[in-house]
Amino acid sequence: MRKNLIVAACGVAFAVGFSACNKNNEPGYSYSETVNFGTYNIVTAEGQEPYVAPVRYQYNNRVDIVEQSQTISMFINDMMLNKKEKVSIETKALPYSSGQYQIGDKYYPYIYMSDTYVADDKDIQITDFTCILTYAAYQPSAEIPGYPVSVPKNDRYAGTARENEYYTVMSYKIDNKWNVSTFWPDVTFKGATTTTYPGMEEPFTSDKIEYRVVLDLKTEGAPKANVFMINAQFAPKAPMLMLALRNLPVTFHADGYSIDVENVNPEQIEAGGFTENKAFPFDKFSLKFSASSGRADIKYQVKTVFNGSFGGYYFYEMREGADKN
Amino acid sequence: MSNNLYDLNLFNRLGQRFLCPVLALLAFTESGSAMAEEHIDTTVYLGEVNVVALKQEHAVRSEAVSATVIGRVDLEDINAVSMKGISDVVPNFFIPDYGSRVTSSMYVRGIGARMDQPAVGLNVDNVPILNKNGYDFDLADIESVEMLRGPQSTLYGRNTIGGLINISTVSPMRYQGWRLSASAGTGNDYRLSAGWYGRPTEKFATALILSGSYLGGFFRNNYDGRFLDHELSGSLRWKADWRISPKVYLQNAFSVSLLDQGGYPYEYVETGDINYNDPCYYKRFMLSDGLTLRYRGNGFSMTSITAVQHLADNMTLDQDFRPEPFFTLTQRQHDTSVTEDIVFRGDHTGSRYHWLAGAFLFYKHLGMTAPVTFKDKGITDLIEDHRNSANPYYPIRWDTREFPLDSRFTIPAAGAALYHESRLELGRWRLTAGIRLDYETTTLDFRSICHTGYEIFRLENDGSLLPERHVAIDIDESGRLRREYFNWMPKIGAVYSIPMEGENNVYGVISRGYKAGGFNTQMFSDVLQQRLMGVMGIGSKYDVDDIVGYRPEYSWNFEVGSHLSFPQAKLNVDVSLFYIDCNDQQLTMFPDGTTTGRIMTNAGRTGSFGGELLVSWNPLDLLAFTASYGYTNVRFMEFFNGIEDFSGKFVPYAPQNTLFVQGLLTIPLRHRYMKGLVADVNVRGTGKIYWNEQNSLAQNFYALLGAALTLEARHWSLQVWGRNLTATRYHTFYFMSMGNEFLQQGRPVQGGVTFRINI
Repeated sequence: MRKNLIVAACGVAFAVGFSACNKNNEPGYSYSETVNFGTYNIVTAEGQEPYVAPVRYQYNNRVDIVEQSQTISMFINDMMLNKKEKVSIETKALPYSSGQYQIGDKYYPYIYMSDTYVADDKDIQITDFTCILTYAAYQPSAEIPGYPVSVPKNDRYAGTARENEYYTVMSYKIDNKWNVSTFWPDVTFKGATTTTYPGMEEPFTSDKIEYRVVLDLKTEGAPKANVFMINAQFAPKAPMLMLALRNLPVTFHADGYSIDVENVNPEQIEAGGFTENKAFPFDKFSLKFSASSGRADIKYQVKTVFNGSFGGYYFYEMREGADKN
Repeated sequence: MSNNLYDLNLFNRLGQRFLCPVLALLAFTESGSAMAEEHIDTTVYLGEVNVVALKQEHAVRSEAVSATVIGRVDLEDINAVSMKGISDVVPNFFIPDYGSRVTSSMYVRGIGARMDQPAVGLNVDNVPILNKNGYDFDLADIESVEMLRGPQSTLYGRNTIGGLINISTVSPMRYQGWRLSASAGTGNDYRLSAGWYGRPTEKFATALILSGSYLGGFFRNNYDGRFLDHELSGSLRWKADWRISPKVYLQNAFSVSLLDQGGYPYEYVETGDINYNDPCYYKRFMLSDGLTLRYRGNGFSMTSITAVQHLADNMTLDQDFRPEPFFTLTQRQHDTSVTEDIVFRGDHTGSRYHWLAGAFLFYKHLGMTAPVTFKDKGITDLIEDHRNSANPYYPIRWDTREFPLDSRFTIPAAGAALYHESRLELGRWRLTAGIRLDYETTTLDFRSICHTGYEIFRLENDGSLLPERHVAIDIDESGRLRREYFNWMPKIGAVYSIPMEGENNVYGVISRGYKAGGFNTQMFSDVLQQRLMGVMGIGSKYDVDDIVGYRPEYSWNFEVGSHLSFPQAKLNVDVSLFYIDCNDQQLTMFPDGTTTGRIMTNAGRTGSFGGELLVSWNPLDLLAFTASYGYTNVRFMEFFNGIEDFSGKFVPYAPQNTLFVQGLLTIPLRHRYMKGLVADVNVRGTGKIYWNEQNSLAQNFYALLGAALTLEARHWSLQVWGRNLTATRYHTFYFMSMGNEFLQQGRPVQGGVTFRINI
């Protein structure tokens, strides 16, 4: 995978949703287009349970040829803050950087913008705003029966090149009271897993182990998480397994969610189904996900002797200084 | 009719031997015109035509190239009956004898290939043999074998990065009559050959050669006591030469051959035992036809060589080479290719400037099936146990005790090239520059199929097993990969003719070599196996995209050398020094884990340097010595395979030294029918050869003693010969399969008798 940080010369580098460059080279001409992308909000406030709901944010992209500027303003009408309250917000026009990741023979664009104070001249203050819109999200290398991969999608454009949308990695504050962060309920984390075990010469490190987390937010009752470990391996000579930890309780917080369980037997993902596997009991499993950064930190203990730890992202992290995969 | 060439006149033979290695080219002479240069013993022109090595201007000793020519008599002296028989005779040229005739691995100066694309080109009567599986054939009816070392890519294109072998067969234009031979040797080694050469008219000549061989074998399989390396083969060759007019010449060479061979006498290193239960064999059918048309125009000549080749073979292996039923492989290929090479040459009479230009086209279509059949113990050890150790509370049992993993491939390839070479003679200097532009495209259509199933059981507290559910596995996946390559291959060289008696010069040459990339078809069964394990919930070990293909290999070759003749001393000396910088050298490796396939991968960079020395000396009229020595130091300069860094290690399978020393003594007999007795003693040496990238295993240098005593008469000869007379024990090959190590031993002492008649 090659990372080509190609900055669009005359506009945004969106592959879908936004079209680049102006339609007319006449001086003074500006170009503007509005698109919307779906995601999920976590809204928290003091004294309030986290509120999780699907939303569609709108983005207005403006290219000013004369000013030689490109900006995006984000807005949303009647966004629910909890079951009762709602708000409409709009940011000022924010400058952004954009580029593409080349993975294989395909290009995956991204857009990044952030600012401390982004509210427009309405009464509502929006602060601590960061936003990454990216196509370069990891996909799992194995199929999980009964769990087809869900990606941000606009059904209006089903079957067309515009069907798939950007993943939204955003967080901001409203009036210094409401914390809002976005997430997608079906993501795959990749990175390095380090496992210690008895008799080892050195810890075992593998970058082949993937962690796919699929949240069930639709079934009645408390939300559940299904964690799939693809190419799970606990020691160099141990078999590589496809394991599932399903229906785990998940807790949302201001910046994401976490999973903490103990004494769980995984299932082996096998031949289109799931077979319980008591040979590799998980004494502990914890996952902490940060929505604003897209990073997950995972720790687990298996068979009382294998201790694994993982830190990684669900997309190709492109901010300068940030960890890159 | 003239039989002078094959008249076994001893003194003529030795005199001509003194002149070797000399090969004449462009023998497109007409009656009354200047004779072409004299050849080695078998090819003296007398106004006839010989389409030999048409892309070279002069005799090879006058060229900026390291070359060795082995004539018919030389081949008979060393009793070389196949391509493997000339290994080590040529310095830094090594063909290990292992496996079967499908394993025609050739190494030149550290550059070689064990699978897929060859590193050394092979032409027979100027027709290129594209499939390496057809490289190993019997050398009946051969007039000469010319070995050019170093990249020949500028004029000969793809897959000549190590060098080029030009084989010329006996021309019926120059020899008419019968040539018969019969041979019997140890190991129940029998060979028969009969050739008829006729020239019904002054302008038309034709030849028909029939040959066959049978080998009982040298190595037994301890499993059933049978000889493994038995062989039965036969071939028919038909050649027709037609001098249509003084300007137009036509030659057609047709051959068909059949082979039914055992092979693969691999011993398990742990026990030193050759012992496996399933059959291993190699069967091959080859057919080729090459039509050469030469036209001499005003100021130029044109040669067109059109060839069609078809190879169909079946390689069946007990792939684990153990007595337990693990798995077998049956690889079948059907390979058809068409080539067209058109060469234009300027008429260089009286000119200092010479030119050559040409175009080459080829199309190749390979269809292959390679099913691996898992058997009882393979299913138990590699699948069931593997899966059950991961989940013992829900063990599985396979539905059947045997099932195939089927892989099918279609690989069409096509290419085109333009090439040019210019030469300028400035006094004693001859400067050469050439360029080749080469384009090639290849596609792999693959299909992987597996239909099988198993039962998952639940282990109860009382130890009983209850069926939990049945799993059906139906894998039928297809894909297509495509590769495209564009290459340029330049060459510059200079030869300075030293002002002294005889043919003496020094030379330097810089050239670029190229070996085509390709696809790791052998790994698809392993990929399918991993896919199967993935379906069962056991993750994959490697990425298909990482192993499915390998890149082309490129090299820059730097060489200086000298060809020296000392007629007074009857001494010829050829010496050369070389350095080869190779990028993306293709290496055959064994992936880790319980796999059986081999993967061709690209090492970052290798560097090879060394030298070669050839000496031929006739101290007395009846005594001749030949010696050749080659040294190659080839190491990885950069090679990290993702796990280990091999920089600085020797490249495996390439010998560091090759040695050949031969003494020939002729004793004239004053007898009416017996002309003389020729005694030949020779030594061949090879080694050190490292067997792996870690350089932890190696075959040290070894030497094999050979000898022959030939009673020669006017029209017949009787030869008694022996090989490896000191019973040297050595190994020719090493590999790993499923983590087990195997070696193949070299052949033991051999001896036999050969009777030849030329009438």
